[in-house]
Amino acid sequence: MVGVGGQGVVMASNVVAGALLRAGHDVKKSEVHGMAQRGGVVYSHVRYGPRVASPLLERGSAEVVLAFEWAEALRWLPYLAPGGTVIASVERIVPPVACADRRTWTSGYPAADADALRARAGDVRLVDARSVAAGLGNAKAASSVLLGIASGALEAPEAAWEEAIREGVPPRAVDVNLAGFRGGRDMPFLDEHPSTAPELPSPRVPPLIQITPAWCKGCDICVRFCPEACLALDEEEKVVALRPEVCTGCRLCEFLCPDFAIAIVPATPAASGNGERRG
Amino acid sequence: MSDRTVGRLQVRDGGVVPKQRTGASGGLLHDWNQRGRGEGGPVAGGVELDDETLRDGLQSPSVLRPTIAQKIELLHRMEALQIDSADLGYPGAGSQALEDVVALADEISKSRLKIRANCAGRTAESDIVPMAEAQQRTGVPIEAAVFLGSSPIRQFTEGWDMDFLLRTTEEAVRLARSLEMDVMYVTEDTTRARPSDLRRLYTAAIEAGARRICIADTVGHATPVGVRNLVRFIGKVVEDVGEPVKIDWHGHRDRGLDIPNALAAIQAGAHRVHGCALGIGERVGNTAMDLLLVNLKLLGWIERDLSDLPGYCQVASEATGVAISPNYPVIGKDAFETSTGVHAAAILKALRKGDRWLANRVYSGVPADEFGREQVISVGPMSGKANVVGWLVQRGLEAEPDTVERIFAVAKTSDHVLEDDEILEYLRPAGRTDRSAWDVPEGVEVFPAGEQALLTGNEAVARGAYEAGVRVASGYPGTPSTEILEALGRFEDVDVGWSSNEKVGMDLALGATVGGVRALVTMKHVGLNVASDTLMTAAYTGVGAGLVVVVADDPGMHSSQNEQDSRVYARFAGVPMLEPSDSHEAKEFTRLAFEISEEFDTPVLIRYTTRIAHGRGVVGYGPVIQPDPRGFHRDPAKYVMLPSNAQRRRPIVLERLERLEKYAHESPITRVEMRDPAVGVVTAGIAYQYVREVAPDVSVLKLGVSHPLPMERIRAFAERVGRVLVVEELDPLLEDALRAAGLRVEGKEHFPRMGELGPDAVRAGFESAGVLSTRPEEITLASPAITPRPPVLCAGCPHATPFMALKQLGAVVSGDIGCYTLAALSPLSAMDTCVAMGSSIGMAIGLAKSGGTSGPVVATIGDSTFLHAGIPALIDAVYSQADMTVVILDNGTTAMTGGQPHAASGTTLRGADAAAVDIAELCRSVGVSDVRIVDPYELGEVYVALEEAMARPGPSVVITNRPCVEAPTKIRDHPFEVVASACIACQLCMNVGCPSITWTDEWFDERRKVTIDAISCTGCTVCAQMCPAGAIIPVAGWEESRVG
Repeated sequence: MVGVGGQGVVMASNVVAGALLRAGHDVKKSEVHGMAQRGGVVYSHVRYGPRVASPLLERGSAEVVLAFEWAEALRWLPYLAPGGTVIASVERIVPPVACADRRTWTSGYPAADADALRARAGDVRLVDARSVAAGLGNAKAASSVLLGIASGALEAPEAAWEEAIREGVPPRAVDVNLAGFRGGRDMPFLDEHPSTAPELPSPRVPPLIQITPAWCKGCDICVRFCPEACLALDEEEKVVALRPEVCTGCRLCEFLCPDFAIAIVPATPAASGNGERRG
Repeated sequence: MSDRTVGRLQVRDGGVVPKQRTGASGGLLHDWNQRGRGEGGPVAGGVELDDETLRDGLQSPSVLRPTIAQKIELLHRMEALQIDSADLGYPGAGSQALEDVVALADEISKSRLKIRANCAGRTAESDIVPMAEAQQRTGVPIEAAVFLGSSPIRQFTEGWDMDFLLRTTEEAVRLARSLEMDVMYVTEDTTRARPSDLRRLYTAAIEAGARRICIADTVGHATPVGVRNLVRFIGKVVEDVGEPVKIDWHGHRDRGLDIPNALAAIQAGAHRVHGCALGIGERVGNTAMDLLLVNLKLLGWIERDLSDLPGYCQVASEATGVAISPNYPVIGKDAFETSTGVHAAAILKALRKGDRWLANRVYSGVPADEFGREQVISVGPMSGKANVVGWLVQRGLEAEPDTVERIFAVAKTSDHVLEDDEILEYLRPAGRTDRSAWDVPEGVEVFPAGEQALLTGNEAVARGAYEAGVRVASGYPGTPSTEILEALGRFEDVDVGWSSNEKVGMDLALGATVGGVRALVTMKHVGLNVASDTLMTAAYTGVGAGLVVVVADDPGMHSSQNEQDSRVYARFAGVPMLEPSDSHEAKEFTRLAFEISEEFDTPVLIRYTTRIAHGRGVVGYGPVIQPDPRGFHRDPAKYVMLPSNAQRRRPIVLERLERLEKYAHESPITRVEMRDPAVGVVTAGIAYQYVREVAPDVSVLKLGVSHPLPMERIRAFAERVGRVLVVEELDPLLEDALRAAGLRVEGKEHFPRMGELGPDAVRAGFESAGVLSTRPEEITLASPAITPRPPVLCAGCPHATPFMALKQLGAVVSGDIGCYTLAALSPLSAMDTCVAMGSSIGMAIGLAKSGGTSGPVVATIGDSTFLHAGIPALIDAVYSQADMTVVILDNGTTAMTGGQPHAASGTTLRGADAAAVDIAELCRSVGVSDVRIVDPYELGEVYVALEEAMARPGPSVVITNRPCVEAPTKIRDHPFEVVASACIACQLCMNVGCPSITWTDEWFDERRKVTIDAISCTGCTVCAQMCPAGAIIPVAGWEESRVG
């Protein structure tokens, strides 16, 4: 079971383990604590059988990958046994680090293509868990919707699941989660990811940075405000473009300079003016 | 009883041979033991038995004196075997002896035992009178057995003559008679005495009133022929005197002829034979009572139920400390056991027919069932498959063909008969609930039915400590150990609290034990470094009550700055270490560790790693004990480690390790699982589970105690297997130790030396070693290149702005350990060093002193870390007037580990109010004059405060004071949103690194616009402050109730 910190993966895996335990299996699971809250990856291996030794799965041995988030479903695919079942939420939580390429503006986040899952999985079940849960009354029950779908692939009776939910979630959230679980058990699921990938711009040429040193009084404002830390003051307290190639053309330096000492000239005529939109 | 012969078969009444057997089994046994013509059995009236265990038996040189309770128990056992009389003791030996005799006689009277009493003594008034006293006090008739040396060699040595002997005899017998006691007159060394002397002595005794005479082979000289001659002669003497006198035979075992002599004596007319349990007695002992009974029964000379014979022998053995050797006839362990194939096959065939009579006789001259024993088939190198089947069948187990094959294969290559538990390893426990087949320390109740839970290793340790009656627990938060103390905090009656650092926690726990209560301290691996100063010397002082130190390592550095292997501490400090391999063992070993700590007077380390700490498994609850507090006992020699005291304590550390090695050797938590003997794996902890997961058929020696190592058991294991592989996580400590002991082992050439082990790595190692074959290609799928998702500062984290300002100001940032360490990552990228807890301030002092930095030096440290180790460093900074600034990021909690309180939080672990340290005041009081507090959500204020502080010479402190937005409670204020039409996509807000802000699919000037996720936004306003276009504003229509 995989997801992002804050989605309730650990709590859900407790419910899974509880249901399997009540169904008479020996259960072991591993969890990740501590760093998970900081928006990092959360994963839990759940193993069950007559007697379980390792709490960790080997790669290529999981019968089910239950993913609470899209990128994580793709990331953990190697742990799925060939032909196994992937149950994934189509929810996308884009980490800041995926929005770091300010040259080509390509998102690092993986494409919404279910075929990537079919490279390994024999059975792919997708769901927009958050929306379904919101439709059933509370978006926070998204994890239980996923559990409902997963319960069809695991060997535990419904009663075991319901008992495990009662014990595994905070008392005030029991009803919402039971509703989510039952909803998940009954609902049909998607084959394809619903969103479309945005059109990528072609690689751009950085704009020209025009500086008039005679007008620059070294007030440092443009240097401090540049989002790309592209500018600096030289020994004579005049602004210079230290790394012109990182300039994104936001023109903050131009707008903020009190003496018009710096201006940004677009490289191509098409990319000009304020408010021009693309795509 | 009568004898009947059918054909040539001896048949006895009383059910020895079942009636239906008589005809059908005629001819099954040809008994050459038939008595020859002219030899009779015992005299008419049968033979009687007199048990000398409690007198002559206790004269054995190797015997322990039994307690009176044990003597009484033995007396009852004699009664149960219908032994006719017992020598209760020698009351003339002293008042204790007399009292014992009185107690035994009382028992006869109270319990209405049929057994009759006699006492031994010399033919002297001083020995006879106490016997009479015993008789008088208890009302139980006591026969006085008075003895006198009779042989020429004895007379010569003692300087006696016949006149003296005769006179003594008469006086003694008359005295005893006058005191109303029956008399047994005993001649010592009769078997070397002259006939004429004997005739005169016995005649005198009889005429003086003795009605029983005892022929004593005091020195064990006689042979059966001699016995026959002597007894017949005495018989004639008695006849000649003409009184109704009985003859006793009392033999010794010096020539190993005790039983043949006793039988000869009976055949020659002795009325009663003396014997001792297990043949103990003077020198090598008396006639063995137990074997005498066996032979009398088998000869048909007595008729009684002897199924309690082993019990009688066992009680005697325990009472006297005399061991029953395995090859002692009928009673010894091996008496009815065979591991030989041919024997077992025959027995098994009989058992298969359901014919116990046959099974007990086909390969045994003594039928086991008549003497309370049964045939045992064991399995060893000379066994056939029948042995294995028999072993299984006798235990009511299924003899499945491949189980039989497996066990048989192991037995054939073994050098010894297999122990039961060795064989049991081959029978996998059936199902989750059959934990009775798991090894647990003896005497521990695993769990009452129904009391189980799925616990993490950390929760299990807490439960184990609770079951052991821990009273005080301390520690410092550290992944993966943090939850132990939190779980313990949920139990009542335990004083649980977070300490400022691990050393204080360790000191606290040690102090609690010196005060007499059990204590536990928890930490992660680097925390042990902090606590190690105390641990090293606590090994010398020992403890007052049990002290358990729990350390959780983090191989692979999931959330640590290194992956040190804390096992070295056990060796370094000279203290024992236990390594559990799952949650149930985590509980059990913790409980056990307290016992070990007290038994050996040492702190005990429990060590495990992330997958146990944060893995869940089924744990069975056990009973909770409440040991009495021991109180404080003043003992400066033990606890004040002046060099002179420490020098005296030092050898104890080493000597104790030897005893601990013996403990590890004998403990059931050192466990051998014999399967395929070609490969033997030595392992411990979580590695064991991975080995079992990927290679279920290898033999394993699983260590529970990993220091000191039970080297002999490891050696014994190594000798039983082909190759020895060591599977251990991180350093090759086990491997090196085994090699140093001279064993050939393989280890790190196959298994990784760094990083976390897992089933994949262990499988790869076994493949490299040729133990497992490579898996098919299709299972491996290359990891797709998916965007990394490193941990980041949470949305609204108050730590973001100080680092943004520091980067802008060009500071050299010496960082520390906590959430804010994440500021080292993009986009903040504002940290230059981070090494250990509290190191930020010290390193900043060093950086400032070096003069090599381009910008001002700033140390950044969190509130909890500051209390942990920052204060002494700050004092140092003042003392040396270092040119540096310390930024204390005070969010009121120990956030990274989950939001635990500390001394400046204002709450305790359990949530009660507590006095809070005023950090600003503390800084001022150590001499920092420039201390200011600033709101980190005010970007401009932060910037100005830092700039000014950095510009001043000497040390200065800037404290940021917004609480953590995630722990211990979630804080959500009015969220913000981006007005898309106003956004110029300048990316300034993205430079904060907030996870709530992300790109949209909209563009401005070929740059992507941004949006804010309203659900995760906490409303800190920082991005709004940064936006030059004023495009970020509070969400319209937001309601306060959204928090959840």
